[in-house]
Amino acid sequence: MRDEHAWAKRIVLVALLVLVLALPYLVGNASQLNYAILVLMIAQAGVAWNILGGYAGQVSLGHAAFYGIGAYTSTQLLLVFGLSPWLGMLAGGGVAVLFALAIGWPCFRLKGHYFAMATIAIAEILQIVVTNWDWLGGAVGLSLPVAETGWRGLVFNKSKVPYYYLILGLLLLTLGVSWLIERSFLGYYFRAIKDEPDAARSVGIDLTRYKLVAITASSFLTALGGTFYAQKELFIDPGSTMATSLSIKIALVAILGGVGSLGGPVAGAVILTAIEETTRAMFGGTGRGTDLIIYALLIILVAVFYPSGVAGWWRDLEHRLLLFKRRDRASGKRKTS
Amino acid sequence: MLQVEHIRVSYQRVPALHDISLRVARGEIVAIVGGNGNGKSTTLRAIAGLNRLDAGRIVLADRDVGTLAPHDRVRLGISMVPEGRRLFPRLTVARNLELGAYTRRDSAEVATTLRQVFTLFPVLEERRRQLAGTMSGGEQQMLAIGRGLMAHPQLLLLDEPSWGIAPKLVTKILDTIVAINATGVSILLVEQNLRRALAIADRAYVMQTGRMVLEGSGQELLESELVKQAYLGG
Repeated sequence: MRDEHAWAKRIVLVALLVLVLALPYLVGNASQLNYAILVLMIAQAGVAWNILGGYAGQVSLGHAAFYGIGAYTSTQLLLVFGLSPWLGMLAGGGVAVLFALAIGWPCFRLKGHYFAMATIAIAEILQIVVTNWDWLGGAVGLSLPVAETGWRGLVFNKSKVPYYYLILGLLLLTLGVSWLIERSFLGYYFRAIKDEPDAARSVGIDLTRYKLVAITASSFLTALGGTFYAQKELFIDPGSTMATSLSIKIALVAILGGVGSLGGPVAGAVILTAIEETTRAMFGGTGRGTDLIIYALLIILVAVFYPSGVAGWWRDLEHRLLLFKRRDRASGKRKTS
Repeated sequence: MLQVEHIRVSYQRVPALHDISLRVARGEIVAIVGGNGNGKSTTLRAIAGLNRLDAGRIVLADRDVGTLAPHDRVRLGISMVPEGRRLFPRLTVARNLELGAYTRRDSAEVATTLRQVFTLFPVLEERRRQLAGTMSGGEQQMLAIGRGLMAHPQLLLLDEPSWGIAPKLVTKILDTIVAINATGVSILLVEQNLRRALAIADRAYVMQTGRMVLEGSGQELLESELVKQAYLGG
């Protein structure tokens, strides 16, 4: 029974993977492909956020800071030193980690929503600093050169398909890291810290140390997504890579999909992007106001009706289905005997 | 072995403990009794390092540990079984016990302690793959004590071990505490179940509104007029 179920799950997963791999050849036009890339981008950031916000239970509303650091570091290294974006991506991750550790050290002393508020403030300050920093292009932003195209330079101007596979690879990498964390000793330390912080302290776990581990992985992976954004758009500015609304969106896909679940943020990304596209078609234009109203509404809906998100809802449904099947089988047996 | 000297603790500037002093000698069972909200739990939390001291010292085996982080105090031999058990509900029984030994590096010694815990509470061995959150109150209390023992403490702090468990099991838990003490672990126990706590304690303190009002042997306190009037119904 249980084995049957596990097999069904595995088959669905493989089918999904095949579908996702074949997607660029199934979609009709470039705008649909671009839409798929957008979903994967926010999904990747959401999964990275989930390591800190979901597993370690430290809700950050400032992840755009790491995203922006990733985008600006690789771009500036490319513009000033001509450094390959592959290396720039790693450097961006490194800078994001240093920044994360510097803010994590004091902020992890804060509890719950005080931590969340501190992360909003820090991301906001960073955005203001960059907006006023001429070397980084200030409010105008930075444009990337289209000198070297192809996989070496990570710029693709003919077809967007390579971008699709690149972000898919990044998403799978981020999911892989999350999966390893969930499976390892870190996963159960995080569960202990999240559920019973005082008990975790009284058995001798240094909470700050493990929160720093979580923010390290989370910020590094988020910054990789930022570099991808820069390479894809070939233009960055503080408003697009460091805005508070981006921070909220990153957190929201994870919250909507299900905090602390591996695939939840991916489901959240699909749903949120679909909602955004629909309302954009309904209200017309890209009114930033409507986006924020929708985010707020979704947060309220999830918090009130299903705090465990889509993943939690799915788990419950699956559980009920299993129970139902078992009962069905039991009653079938009774009839034949 | 433990000497608490004139400690003060407050929650957001509201004082909870005024000038508390107590001591636990090696091998003793000491109880702190008194009604709800008088600072008993706060005293234990302060000793474990979960609450910051405003004043005073906590000396463990000639060393002032009052400013150390909780994890450093665990290494020095203080282990706490918190009020309401505070198990890790989404982890198995075995993982909860494993985390109890978080500060220990010698895996052979940890395995020995684990066997001792399983001898003390055979039900934990049977249920080792079960999620801690799905067990009964009594079993959870056994697991909480087992987790506390996994740190191989010299001093075990027990906060309300009879909380929320069946009366029949209370006797078993208290017997087990005496058995743990017999292996050389000193015990500081906080209990509302005053009569039973005093029955197993070598010495006890009575707390009222953040102050120690009485100290004596378990028997002395059971016979004291104040205790009789205030807690045993005349």
